[in-house]
Amino acid sequence: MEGGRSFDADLRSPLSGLNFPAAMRASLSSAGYTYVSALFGLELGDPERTTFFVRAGLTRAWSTLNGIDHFANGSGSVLNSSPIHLAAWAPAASIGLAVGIW
Amino acid sequence: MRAARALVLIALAGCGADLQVDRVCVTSPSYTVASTRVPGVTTAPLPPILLAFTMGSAIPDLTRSGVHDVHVLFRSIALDSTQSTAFVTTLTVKAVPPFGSTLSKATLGTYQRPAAGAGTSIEVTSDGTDVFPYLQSGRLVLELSGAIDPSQAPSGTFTAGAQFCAEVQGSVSYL
Repeated sequence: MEGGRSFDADLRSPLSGLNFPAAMRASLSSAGYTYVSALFGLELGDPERTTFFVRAGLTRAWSTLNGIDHFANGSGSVLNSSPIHLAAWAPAASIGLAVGIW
Repeated sequence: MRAARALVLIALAGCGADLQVDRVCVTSPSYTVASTRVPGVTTAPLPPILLAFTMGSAIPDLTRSGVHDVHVLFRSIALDSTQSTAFVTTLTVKAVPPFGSTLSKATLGTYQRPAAGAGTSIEVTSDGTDVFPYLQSGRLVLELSGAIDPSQAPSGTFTAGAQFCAEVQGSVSYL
């Protein structure tokens, strides 16, 4: 298990596969998220020194995006909204080296 | 290679996001209303008025793949006027079904002029009727009807505007 909080980043590209409403896409340009992951995998090496690991699993992530400030909706009407709450499931994978320093 | 691709597709199938926006509001452009004060006449029916709100760009599009469980829960409609709204005695707000639909009109809320007098705005609130089935191409049509007091109607013209607010929920996934 692992969890954390990411800094604000532009999520438009990683989430481009999701069919987000057009007026809300701009809110993805600067968003952070909190996540918890459950990962299973292999660890090879000496746990006291250097370990190579490959893990895969599932992540649950939560984010609150900025609301729509002013979206021209055609015919002179205007949209705005309160903050947008997102809760997402996503596959997770990690590969790397863990080095023991003491 | 084929097995790896299948694994990725299976992983992505479970990958999606639930979104919830407590309040999405659409403000329509203001319009001018012609009005005549009729002294001595204190009650008259208000002919049905249709107001259309375009909110498709703020709602997940069910025609796109991976979009499901969309709800648009009516929260409020506010009518603002440059004149007193004291001439509006009662108001009923209904959602009008799309053309060709078998749905019947849904009453979203009612307004009763307060005994203490009215200001320049009217707000009708609701506990959250789902109006998503009433949207056609992202457009919701509301019907306003009720009763007015012509003896208190403004003389000449006045400007009015409307704001519709709803809670939006939906799920979007990759597949």
